[in-house]
Amino acid sequence: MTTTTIDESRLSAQVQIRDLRVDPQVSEGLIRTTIRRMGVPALASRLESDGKFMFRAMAMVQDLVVSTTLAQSLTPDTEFSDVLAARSFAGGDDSLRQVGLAMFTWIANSARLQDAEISNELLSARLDQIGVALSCC
Amino acid sequence: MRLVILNDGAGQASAYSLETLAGCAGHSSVDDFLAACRENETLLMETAQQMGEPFDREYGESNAASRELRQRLEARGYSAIDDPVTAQRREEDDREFESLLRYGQGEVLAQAGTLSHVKNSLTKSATAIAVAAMVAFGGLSVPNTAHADNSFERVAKDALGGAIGAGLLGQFGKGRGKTALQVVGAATGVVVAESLQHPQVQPNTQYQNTQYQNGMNNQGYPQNGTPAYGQPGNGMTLLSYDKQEKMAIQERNFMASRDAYARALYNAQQAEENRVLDPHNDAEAKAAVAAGGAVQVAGQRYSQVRSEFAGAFEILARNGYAMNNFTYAYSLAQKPVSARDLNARDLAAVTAPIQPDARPTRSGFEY
Repeated sequence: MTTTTIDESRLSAQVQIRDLRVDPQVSEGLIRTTIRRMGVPALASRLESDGKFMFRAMAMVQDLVVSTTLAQSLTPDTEFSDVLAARSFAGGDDSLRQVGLAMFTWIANSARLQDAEISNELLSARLDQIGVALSCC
Repeated sequence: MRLVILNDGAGQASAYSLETLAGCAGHSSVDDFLAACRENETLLMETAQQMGEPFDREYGESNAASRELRQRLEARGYSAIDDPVTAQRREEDDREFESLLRYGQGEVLAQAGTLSHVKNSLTKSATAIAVAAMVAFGGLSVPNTAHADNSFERVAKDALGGAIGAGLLGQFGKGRGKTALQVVGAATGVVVAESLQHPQVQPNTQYQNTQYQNGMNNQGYPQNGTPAYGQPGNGMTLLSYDKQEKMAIQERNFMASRDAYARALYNAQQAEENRVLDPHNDAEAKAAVAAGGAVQVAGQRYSQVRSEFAGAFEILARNGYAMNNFTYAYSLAQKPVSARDLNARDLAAVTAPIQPDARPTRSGFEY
């Protein structure tokens, strides 16, 4: 007989992380800037014409900002997979994933939170996890 | 061979090796040429014109060939060659992106700092930023000593105590777009400075249901000192003693009538249960009707007192008074009342077996 133990505090953390929000205006600004920088006319026109695309992109940006921020601010002993478990990213949409990867690259290359507690190696490992989550689902 | 593609932005593109371009521009080596390009951002464009070739003046990001050129140059360690207009646009985009990102990060951290299962996993710097961002976004919740019983609040307190001012802006590494964070930082500096100057007027955020459940009377003003006239950190006006007192009385009346209403609902519920469990007993049926009537009366009384209290709260809040001490009761005023809202001690008493009416009569002062 197998006993499964569910760590209640980790589950609760996931539930709480799922509730983290980013101002819609911020998300929208980030999407527009990224698509302008990517310079793919098809994406720009889809953004204008497809309302659902914008909403889903905003949800993805929220996931990206939350996960990259927490990657820089959670102590080393925290299970980072909890953060990823709570977020869904591109959800199978290819062009959304394209935008997501471009934005992710931009975020990863911008200034990081200077914190001795989080080494560059740890940060890269966490960012890798985000990158994998972003490209697979 | 490394190719540079000159593009007119309309689908016409010509590819040249860097060596050819360097030769045309009068440089002996590619490295010299690229160095010169870096110094003089329009050199590549001028070279193209000398060669009679189109060059994408707009240098649109939408232009795949231009992107390729950029990548090739960047691969050699040179920064991209932009014409001034594009360079400016790029810089504006960078700044916008970074600002938005910082704002979003601050927002995420401010929220993370309120999550019971997340906040203690934040690093010290992240906590400092979380606290600063909470202050800047207006959700100021300064941990006071008595409650600093976990690491988040201890760090938060340290951060408020001194680390915030200059340290905060240094928390993020060098980036061009620190605007949002600077705004956060500036707001923080002001608010924190004000808060530290008036420690006695910190908003009392420890106003909780338990005070009612224990039958304790919330005094209606901060417990850790004398309320003073002046501005608390959030720019609101403190209530005078007189107004506090009157507001506290209204609040007490409200809580009492709410409790009475909840008790009436509870009694009616019990009576109804007794009636259906004993359907042929007239006494139970009458009791159920009577309890229903009592609910009506208590409900009318409640709605009257509720609107007095909520109205007073709303008007004072609109006029800029700090109403922190009454927000909990006000939030209750927004919710429907049910039999479950009896406070814990009442519930224990009414559900106690045997002694049917052992509850002591309660006076208004106990609420």
